[in-house]
Parts: sequence; C-alpha cells; structure tokens
Amino acid sequence: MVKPSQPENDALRVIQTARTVDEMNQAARNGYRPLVKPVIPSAKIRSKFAVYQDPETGEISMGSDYRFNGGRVPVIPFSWYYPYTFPNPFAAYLIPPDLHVGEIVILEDLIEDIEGIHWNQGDVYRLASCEAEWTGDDFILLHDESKTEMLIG
Amino acid sequence: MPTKLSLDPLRQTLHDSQGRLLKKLHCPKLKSWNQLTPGVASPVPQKWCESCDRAVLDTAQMSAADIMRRLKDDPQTCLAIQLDQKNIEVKVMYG
Repeated sequence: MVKPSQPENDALRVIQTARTVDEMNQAARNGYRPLVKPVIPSAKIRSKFAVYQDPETGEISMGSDYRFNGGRVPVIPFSWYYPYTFPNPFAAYLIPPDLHVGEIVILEDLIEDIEGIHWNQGDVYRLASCEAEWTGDDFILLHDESKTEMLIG
Repeated sequence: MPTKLSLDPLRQTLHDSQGRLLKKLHCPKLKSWNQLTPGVASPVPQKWCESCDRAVLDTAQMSAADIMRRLKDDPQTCLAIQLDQKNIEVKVMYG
C-alpha cells in the first residue's frame, strides 16, 4: 500500500479521568486540579439483551444481536437497558497546571454521556473518548458525529 | 462450520468463537474511517493512518480466519468494524 507523503502531526495531550475519590485526591497532591463533574446517564444510550436457557441442561446463554438467536427460545426476550456502570456518580478530569486556554486535548475517559456508535438494531453506545478545547474553566467537547460510524483500533 | 467472531461493543473487544479475547479496539488518535487515506488496490480493503503510519483493514469483506491470521501475525494490526457487518456477531460478554 502506498503511504501518504506528509504524515500529520497530531500529538495532543491526553487528559486522564479519575473515577474514585482516592484517585482525585492523589492527583491533587501531585499538582493536578480535579475538575469534578456529575456522572449523568443519558436516556438515549441503550443496549439490549436476551437470555436463553437450554430446556434440558438448564444452562444460560445471552444474546445481543437479533441476527444470531440460533432458533433458541428466550426466557427473557430482548429487553433494553442502560449498559454502563461507574464506581461513583461523579468523576473528575485531571487538569495539569500548565494546560493553557485554547489547548486541544484528548479526554481519554469521557465523563459526559455522549452518543457514540449507533447500531441499526437500535443500540446506542456512549462515546469513550473525545477531543476537547480547554476554556480555562471547562472543556468544550469537539465531537464529530460522523466519526462514529465504525469502530477503529 | 466457519469460525465466527464476536464484537463486544461495550468493551470494544473482538473475540473468537470460544470467547477468547483477540483484540481491544482502541485508537489513541480517535481516528475515523473518513479521516484515513485511501491506498492502492489491495486484496483486503484498507486505508492508511497518517498518524501511526499503519494500514487500517476494513474487516467487512474478510473471513474470520483471515482476521485471526492477521492478528496472530501482528497483534497491533488496526481494524475497522461496523456493527452491522455480516461476518461478526455483536455480543456483550456478560460475566
């Protein structure tokens, strides 16, 4: 395959997220400023599941995809739920002391519930990471919805 | 019966037919398919990531065996996967 001749330089700083009080306080002691935010689940984010049980053995199996039920009869038919769990109802971005206003960064573990991948079966998954601009007080999320049509990695 | 792969969309992990982890799909540069550069014709459709200087394989037309072979040869192989691909079951790996 032919490589492009001018690789772009996009070495953005990565801002980490603390999900526990211990992590936040440890970061504060190390010179970071925890920017604390509530963890608010979005009603738009959802996943589905079904539970199947072998009538002979009693063993359980799960399904997430309408296309692959294999003729099994569910004991719990496809049902919607919010699929994520977090250790606390709050979290914090760890702001380094030298972060300057207008700097573009990568929020590695997004606290806000932003819609990420949409599946044509109705499932909507949260965006895991996002670019953002630092205003001095908070981040402006720079999310482009067109970027989430495929999983890349 | 052909081997089938599973994708856990919550953890963004790819698994073999036995549920064994093949790869965690994570792009540290947050690249999208549209941001990648088309390359020359190849047996496997792919684009080029300028940031990492690597190919990203479009897995939609690949067999499970081919995907697994690529990952065995190079575990850092970058993949692009859509949830409605016919060759991959979307399956949350519940404990």
